[in-house]
Amino acid sequence: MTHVAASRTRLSVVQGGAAKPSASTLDALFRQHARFVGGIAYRILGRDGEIDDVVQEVFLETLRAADRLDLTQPPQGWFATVTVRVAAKRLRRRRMRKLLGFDTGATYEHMATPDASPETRAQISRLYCALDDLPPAERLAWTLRHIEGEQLDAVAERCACSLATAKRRIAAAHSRLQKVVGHG
Amino acid sequence: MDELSRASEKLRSSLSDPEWNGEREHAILAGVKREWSNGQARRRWPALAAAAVLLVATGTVLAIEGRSFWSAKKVAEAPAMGTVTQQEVSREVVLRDGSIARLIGENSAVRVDKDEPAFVSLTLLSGGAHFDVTHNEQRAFHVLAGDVVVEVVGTIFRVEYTADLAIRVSVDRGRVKVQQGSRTAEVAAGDSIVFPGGPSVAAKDPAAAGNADDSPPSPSGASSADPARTRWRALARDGQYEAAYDAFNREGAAALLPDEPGALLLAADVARLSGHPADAVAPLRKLVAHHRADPRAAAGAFTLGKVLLDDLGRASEAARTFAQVSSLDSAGSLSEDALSHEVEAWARAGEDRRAHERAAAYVARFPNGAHLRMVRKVGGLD
Repeated sequence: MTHVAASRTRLSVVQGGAAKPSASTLDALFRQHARFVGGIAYRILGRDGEIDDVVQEVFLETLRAADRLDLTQPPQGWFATVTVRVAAKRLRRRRMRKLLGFDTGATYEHMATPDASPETRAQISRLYCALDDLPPAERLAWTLRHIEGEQLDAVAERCACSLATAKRRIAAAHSRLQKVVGHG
Repeated sequence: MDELSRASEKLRSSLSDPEWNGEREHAILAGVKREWSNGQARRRWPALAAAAVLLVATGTVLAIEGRSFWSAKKVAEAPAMGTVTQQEVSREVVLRDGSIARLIGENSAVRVDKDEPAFVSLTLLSGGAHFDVTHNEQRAFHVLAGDVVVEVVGTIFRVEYTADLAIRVSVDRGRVKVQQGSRTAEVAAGDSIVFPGGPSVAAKDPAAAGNADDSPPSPSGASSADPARTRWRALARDGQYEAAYDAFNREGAAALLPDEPGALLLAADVARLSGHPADAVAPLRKLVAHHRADPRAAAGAFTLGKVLLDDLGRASEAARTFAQVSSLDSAGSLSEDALSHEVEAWARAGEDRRAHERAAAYVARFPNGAHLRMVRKVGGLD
């Protein structure tokens, strides 16, 4: 006999072959991972107003990729990678807008926890302002490494580049940030 | 490590999370469904058009009538009559004749006993399921829930265990015959019937919650208790969790919630399934702390662990909570899952040593376990 049970972490299976999501998993998938996606988007972009669009686009991409998704692997890796990709597009758009004078920047003290000291708030704000001046690819690699705490190979995977390229981007970003942020 | 690296490591722990609540989630999810149905995806994937329309029309992923792309695709992949491990789960089962059973809510389980041209039989093990049965007068189609048998020819109906372990059968289209012992009844479209729970697997189902509001079977299935005090319960039993959550808060039910396993589990379910997982923590903690001897305590601890880990990102707390499940789980049915989740939670908390230790414990206890591969990888045993 066949025993079928619903589970939040095991989303679907098909007899034989790779696992595929069913339409009925969208709500469960969303409830399980949307906050995670939003958190990564927030820490990469620094702007709350952009999160909703990013989360929406990540899940749309998930629906589009549904027939090739392998849900036997933990889906968080998938979501992290797609979030980085979508955030990268937003960063490139933001940079273009800035070059054209449409993006006047932002302050980032709101990103600190409520109990953070004024000094910490200022450091966070300085850091994110400095990140705004970096090329998107470097900013992403550095943020994944030093804010998200990802291992180098994970950074490379998320950024869809080689390990050497990831290291190079992180080093370049780090060098620029050190000049601007200094000792905080 | 240079100054900037040290500083960024410190700052990492001072970064807040974005404000996140049910309303925001709901709005974003609605946007996903809207964009999907507006054809952005349809241009790339025409076959999903039917599913997209259903998403917009119903506001939920599954329609009551008709077929979604996924189930249509699955028609060719009807479940073989074999044993599916706990890792292999789906929210819907498509039978050989195209009939579909869709699981409702968390912790629902259905077993396919027979899937033959002349006879189909399924057992609802826990939770609830929605059935869309193709019309075929040459075939008998039965759904068993406890000692209740639902017999249909071709119709759309739902069978579910309520919070007080009663069995509710609701019919959307057509007519079904329902029998419990010597009692039989026919239920027409738009009606529902509730049978008191008898001997059933649902009694052992950790997701089923006890409730003092047992009602005798009646066509409407309504509770006879004070409507003002139990409105949220009735809504929850109907699966209307968002409305139940609103009613719960409006009625001030938190202050009046009895310290009783069934009520605590139901309140937690309402919070979780309406998108307010943080509000599920208190009743689940109370269940585990005050009712350790109750068979539902293990399920409560397991559910609490999942909420802490998956919804709230409190990985260390989740790990400690999962660790409690074994001591509460005398039947042992949750222990394997709980231990695998404990390994995952320690790993996500950055506690690699503990993850490694608990992964080794899992491998020793469950050498052929369903989660072996994940545990070995996450626990650093590979």
